[in-house]
Amino acid sequence: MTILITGCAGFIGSHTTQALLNRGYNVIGIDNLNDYYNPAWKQENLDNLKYENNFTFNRVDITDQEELEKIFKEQQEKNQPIQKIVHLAARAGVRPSIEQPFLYQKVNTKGTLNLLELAREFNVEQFVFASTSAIYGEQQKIPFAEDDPVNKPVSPYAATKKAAELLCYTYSHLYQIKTTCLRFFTVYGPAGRPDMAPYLFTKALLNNQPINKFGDGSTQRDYTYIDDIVSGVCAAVENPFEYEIINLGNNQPVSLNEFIKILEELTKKKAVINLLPLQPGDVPRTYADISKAQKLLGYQPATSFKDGLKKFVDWYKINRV
Amino acid sequence: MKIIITGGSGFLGRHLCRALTAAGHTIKNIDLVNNPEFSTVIADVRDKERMVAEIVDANLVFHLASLIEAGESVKEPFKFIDYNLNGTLSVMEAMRVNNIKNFIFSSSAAIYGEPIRVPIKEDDRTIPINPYGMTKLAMEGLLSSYVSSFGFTGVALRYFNLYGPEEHHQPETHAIPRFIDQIINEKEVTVWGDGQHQRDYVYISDIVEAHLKAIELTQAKPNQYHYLNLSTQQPASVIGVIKQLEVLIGKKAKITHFPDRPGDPRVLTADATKAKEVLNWESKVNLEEGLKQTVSYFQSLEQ
Repeated sequence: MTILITGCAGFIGSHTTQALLNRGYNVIGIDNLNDYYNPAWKQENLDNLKYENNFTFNRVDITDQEELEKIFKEQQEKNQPIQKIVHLAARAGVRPSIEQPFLYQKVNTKGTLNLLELAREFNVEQFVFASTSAIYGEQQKIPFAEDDPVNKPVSPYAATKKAAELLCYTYSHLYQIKTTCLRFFTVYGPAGRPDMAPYLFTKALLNNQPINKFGDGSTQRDYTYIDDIVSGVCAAVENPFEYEIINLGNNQPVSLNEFIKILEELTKKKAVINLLPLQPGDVPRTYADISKAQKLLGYQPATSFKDGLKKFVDWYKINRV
Repeated sequence: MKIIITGGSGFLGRHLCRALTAAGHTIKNIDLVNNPEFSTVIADVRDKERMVAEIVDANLVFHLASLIEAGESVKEPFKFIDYNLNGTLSVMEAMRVNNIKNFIFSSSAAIYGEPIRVPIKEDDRTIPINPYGMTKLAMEGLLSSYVSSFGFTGVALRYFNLYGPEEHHQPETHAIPRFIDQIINEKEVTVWGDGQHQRDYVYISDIVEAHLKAIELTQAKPNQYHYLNLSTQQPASVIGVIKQLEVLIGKKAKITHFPDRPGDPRVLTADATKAKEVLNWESKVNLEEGLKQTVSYFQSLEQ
């Protein structure tokens, strides 16, 4: 079984790639190693992968349709056609999407369309797409369920992911490509993205620097540990559906204030707070209803925020200090 | 060999999946819960059509999917009958339809009920004292009937208290992980009666090894129904276990005694002579070593 994974050098991508390799799949990884954050760390993620001869890396940008097509052709000629696509590559981050909406549109929407077109052309069986909790916007009803209306995204990032989900549906409908859109809820853990709060705050506390706290600290995030997310992605790959949207969250939101308190305990440091107003595009809370994931994917998050954050801090001390 | 495991995401299942793949077998896990390490088909064993579709192209089935809490079974007997019996039957029917003949499962020493003598031998009377034990006995009955009626080869492995690293239940009703958690976190350790009850604790790696040897047994002695006790033959008192845990953890247990549970046998232990003869199996890990491994696992989670 040959699987193409996009964004394989990123945080979620590299962990997912390792899990798929461990399960014995032949994995074709692609990533453009862009400089959204330090490309050397992405290279490090690639270097840390353990495999025998079942992994091939291609430095390709998903907006480059021709280069992508070459990979599909090559695999077909080798008689190892790509049977499944796990599409994780994206421009992430809410705030930067407001600065660079065209870039987000090009990568997240057009890039997804490129892959869907290739999935059609090369008869790919299944398409697993990484969507986001940001799609729920400023929704009042909690927890967020897959059938809740999501027509009011509050950032270009969320809007481009929503557009990509719609394209996924269209392709599953027109060409019978089995498709699962997984809405990830604030994923964190070792090798986590350096633009996200767990990384920024850990770095600041350990260096006795102030942390930027946006708002009064009552905003909540349903932080979900990387191993739980990866387990859900693997289950999605192994249990295909015609078309489903499935939340992968922790179902245990944590407020910003609680988060800072836990981090202070773990690092044994007192945070110096630089209070800032709430940022445009940020949502007040995310909170996943995970009953659909439990039923369809046997998904069961196993890591509490405290345990997960401890693992992150331990990783940070070894790898970034 | 191509092997299908139901319930391969549970405590025994996870260990068994690793051991089977390490031994070169190809496995397919069917469970309601995903196993983070191995491909898992998310399906309910009671779903007859699904089982016919999924239990195909294999030489052998380990049927581990089962409800296991004796206490819960007293409260919810219908649920136990449904999961354990309908689940087992739909797995066996799928095997019959798809011509897979080898069936191995974890039965339980709970099928014996209150023993007339200890150590219990396999052909001693079986009078279960809770719906859980009853469903396990009935599962054995289903298996023996499929052996006679349809040429299956069946192995039922009967044992009492399985323990070891990575054992987690919600809520934690099993004695050893519960005691470890209570002692480490300085919570009350609740003991029924005086704690002098003796129980038969078997370590996970021994039980996994017995399951692997059971594969050989299906090949060496096909078309038979094999039922075997697995035991260390060295029962330990509840208080004795707690004492050993105190030493390993380095903390004193705060023991609270609850009233004796009526009908709780003083000594429960099984004779494992038959397993030695038929399976060439005997337990290798003594309680001290097993507890040491288990404690160090739980301590690693706490750090």
